[in-house]
Amino acid sequence: MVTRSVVLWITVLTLLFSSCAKDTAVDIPAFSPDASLRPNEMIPDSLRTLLDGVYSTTDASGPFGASVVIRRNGKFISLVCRKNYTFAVLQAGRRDSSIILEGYWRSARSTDHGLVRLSMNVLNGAGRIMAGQPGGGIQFEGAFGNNANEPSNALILKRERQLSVQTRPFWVIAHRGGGRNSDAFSQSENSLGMIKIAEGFGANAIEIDARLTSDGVPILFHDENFSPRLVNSDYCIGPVANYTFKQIRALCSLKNGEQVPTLREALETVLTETSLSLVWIDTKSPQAVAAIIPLQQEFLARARQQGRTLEILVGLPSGDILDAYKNHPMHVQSPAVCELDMQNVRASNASIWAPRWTLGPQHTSVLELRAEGRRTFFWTIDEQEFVGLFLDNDNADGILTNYPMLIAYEYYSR
Amino acid sequence: MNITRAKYFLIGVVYSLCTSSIAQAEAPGTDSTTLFHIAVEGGGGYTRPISTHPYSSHGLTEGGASFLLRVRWGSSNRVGLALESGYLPVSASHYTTDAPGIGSLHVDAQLSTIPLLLLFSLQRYGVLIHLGAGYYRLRSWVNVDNETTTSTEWDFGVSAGVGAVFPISDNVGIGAEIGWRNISEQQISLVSLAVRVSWRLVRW
Repeated sequence: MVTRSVVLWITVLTLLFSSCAKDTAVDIPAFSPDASLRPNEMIPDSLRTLLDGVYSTTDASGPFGASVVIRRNGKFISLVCRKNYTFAVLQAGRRDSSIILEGYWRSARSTDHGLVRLSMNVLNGAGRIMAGQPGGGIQFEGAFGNNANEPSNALILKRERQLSVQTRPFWVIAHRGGGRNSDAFSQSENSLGMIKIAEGFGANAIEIDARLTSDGVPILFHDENFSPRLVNSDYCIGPVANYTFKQIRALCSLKNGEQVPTLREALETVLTETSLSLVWIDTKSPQAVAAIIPLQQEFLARARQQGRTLEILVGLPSGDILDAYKNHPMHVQSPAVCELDMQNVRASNASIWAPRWTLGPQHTSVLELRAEGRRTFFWTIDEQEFVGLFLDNDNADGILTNYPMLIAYEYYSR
Repeated sequence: MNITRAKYFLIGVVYSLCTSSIAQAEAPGTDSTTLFHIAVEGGGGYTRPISTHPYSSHGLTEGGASFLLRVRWGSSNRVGLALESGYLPVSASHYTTDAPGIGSLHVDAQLSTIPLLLLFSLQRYGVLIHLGAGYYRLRSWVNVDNETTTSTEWDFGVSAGVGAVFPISDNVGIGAEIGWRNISEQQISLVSLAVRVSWRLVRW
């Protein structure tokens, strides 16, 4: 009997202490400044675009699988894969007569990561690329490493074909500014840093969450309440709406140390530091609508002045928020994305319908709305096995996802 | 720490088995005429956080004086159930900071909690161990540049403790204990040292 008791107590203690877990962001490595590409070695966008394509790899069992998509996306060269949703955020430069791609790779479905450096010499097509000649077979040779170690695992990428031809624009919309804290990115969800890196993950659009502080400042924050999932703070507990903006700035930071951004700061970052073409503002309360619409209008006007193609959409996820939107005097000129049924999409004159993906592709409804000039974005698709359902028949105009690297691979490699 | 409720439940089941098996293994109590009793316990001591998720350590004071109150139902001085409440300070801060985009801000803040737990306990040879689960009412008071906010929330949590009990009369005992607590949702862990007085109100 005593033995049984001892065993049971050991079980209790083992369960208690084995239950301890900590979310830790992956520290992204970087090449030493001496070895990495210098600003004067970077090649212009017009040449970087010539690297776009679907490439085969020499080692299908490696982290990149058998096939990758390379695509210029904003200021990054984005490499995306199906296997483990691996991606690489790269810069392209020229050193001597070779084109260099270098940066880091990461598996979004694990914490595997490391450095990668690839080179294309004249024999493999660098001369043609630098001369601005599109097409043709090109090949990168180099290596990838694990963690902060220098790349030592051989990797060869051979372009097999161009990216799929786009008949209409398509939006790869990164959730929470680019990704979630639970995927251990080194930038926090809904942070300015995450917005800046979203294109490196393969996205060309972002969804961000806007809610109000007690003094009416719209900030980016997903949850209704503060919690250690999202912030570091001794004192921020309970509803976000209890606290003033000053209190939030003084008392807490996001998980990776960033400040909780305002919606204004987020839109400023999108406009000045990215090439993103669409921002979906997920409205978290009816009261937030009145604060979001003037900012939306201000930044849309600035984008137009700069000749920038940028859509900023007010999200309408529920009936009370839809009512607040329809009651706002500026709603007629305020583009919106409506998550409710088609009747409400039309009633709000939303330019985009955003149904939950679990309702299926709904192709007839998609075509009906498309005939009215509206687009359809599905949310939130994270599983590779379902992506094809929504891309087939040119169905979706965009997909909201926690894994833009996956959606980008599936879309551009079709 | 991130402990799921399912694991807590499993711990509770295993603990129940454990306490019942120990109770079966022990000899009857010293007072063979008393089967059950209800006692009130009060205590005070010092509580300190051992795991938090701080933003700033400027002007930070961790822990402080804490108080506990329990009503315990006991069986032959061995297996018992208790309801526990009290007051536990977690941290307090007083500092001036430069907030990005705002400027200099003066900060005063306090975080404390009131537990409301159900404890399962086992007492033998003057040693008492207990495991508990329930809810903690967290209270945050902050003042930043003369703007004050008080915010509260209820969070699930657990506790575990071990102590010694010394009877000083038929109905009164004194003791000391050390305890560990985890407020699951906010991932706060605390340790407490306390002395306590136990007064047996009723027995039958």
